[in-house]
Amino acid sequence: MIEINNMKFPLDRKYYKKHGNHIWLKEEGGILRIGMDSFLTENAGYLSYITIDNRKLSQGEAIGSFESAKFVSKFYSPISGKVVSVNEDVLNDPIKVNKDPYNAWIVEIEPENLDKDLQSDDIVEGEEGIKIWIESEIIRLDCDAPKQS
Amino acid sequence: MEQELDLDYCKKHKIGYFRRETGGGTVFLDKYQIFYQVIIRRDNPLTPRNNQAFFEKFLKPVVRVLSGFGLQGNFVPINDIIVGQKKISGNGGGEIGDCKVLVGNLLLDFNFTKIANILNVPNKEFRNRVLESMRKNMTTIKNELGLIPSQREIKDALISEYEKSLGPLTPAKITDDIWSAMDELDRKFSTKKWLFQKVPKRSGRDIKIREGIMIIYRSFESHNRRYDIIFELEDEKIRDIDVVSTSGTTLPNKALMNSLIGIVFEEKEVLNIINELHRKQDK
Repeated sequence: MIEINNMKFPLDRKYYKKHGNHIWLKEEGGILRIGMDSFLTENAGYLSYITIDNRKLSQGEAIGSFESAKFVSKFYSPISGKVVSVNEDVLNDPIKVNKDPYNAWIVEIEPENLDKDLQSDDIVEGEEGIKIWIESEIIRLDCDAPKQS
Repeated sequence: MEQELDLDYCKKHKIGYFRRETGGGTVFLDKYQIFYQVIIRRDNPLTPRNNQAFFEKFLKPVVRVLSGFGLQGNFVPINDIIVGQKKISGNGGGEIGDCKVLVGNLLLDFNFTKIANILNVPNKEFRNRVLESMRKNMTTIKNELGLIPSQREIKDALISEYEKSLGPLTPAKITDDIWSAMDELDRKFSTKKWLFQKVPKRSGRDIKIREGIMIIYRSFESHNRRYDIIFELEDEKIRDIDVVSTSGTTLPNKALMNSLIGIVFEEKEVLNIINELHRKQDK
């Protein structure tokens, strides 16, 4: 586990950053669990809805959407495959993702081409890689912040 | 859809309804509002990736428009614009395709009773509380100025202020390709699957009036009694309550009010307080 600006990132999983996403993925018994990382939950505010739109996915395709702070965002699949399970408990109470992002998984995907998908430049793993990525995200957020006039 | 709207009322009064792709909750649209949309590519350097910064950047022009009409508007995060302490513009946003989208309205005049009737609510007491809170916490250009400037004047002011943020804007023609894409989307967004997308059923009802002000409804079971309570929250703290129905011999309203008003609303905490009051009463 590493901690950056009070945000925690377990090292037992990989992360997916395409389109500014903050998705974690963890393999368990040939199935990949997908959830949202603490950078997203810290910065997006409380999640009010999560919907799952697609069951058969290519890497980078939208799995579904979530609403937080009156803004609906898409979240994208880090791998190609088929959604085999949805965490209804989290869909019924999305704030669970804010409270415990690394246990509140959202979907499980049966991968189609895992080895190839994990070669993507949008997959981040390991202490050094995560640190560089998150620090650049923090700089980007600071740049976004409206300037006082 | 049925969780949000009283569909029978809408049908009876010939009010159409649709579900949009962006966030921001239920919005009533009529000719007494000016609507604006900002649709900008995510990879445009002018587009903040942070959503709050996105709202703030693209709502500044609307605040300047109000100022041009002599109204001191203020942006209140996440995405309200207020005059005094009252909301005059509501907004929502979302990602659609490769773009980020802001949708919003400026209230010229507003039929508060109509919107209160359109909403699906647990009972008439809740509806009345929503109506009362909207009247207290929302305003319109007509209320503030005593008149409504021409829509053309407001639209021109919006275009001019958005040009200051985005650069020169060029009027575009809606081509045949765009019309046919719109027809295709119309078909998609008219399907029952889209309109009545299944969402988890939530207990109670929450309606946000403006940033910081919520009216919520919850039921509690304590010592074999049931309490249905309307809470008015201000910045998450309980500002007022209305016990609308109970069963069995229940606690006096005054005891509930004294114990609940002023605390931060959390269902578990409210239930703990009700349980504690019962324990004291039963002694």
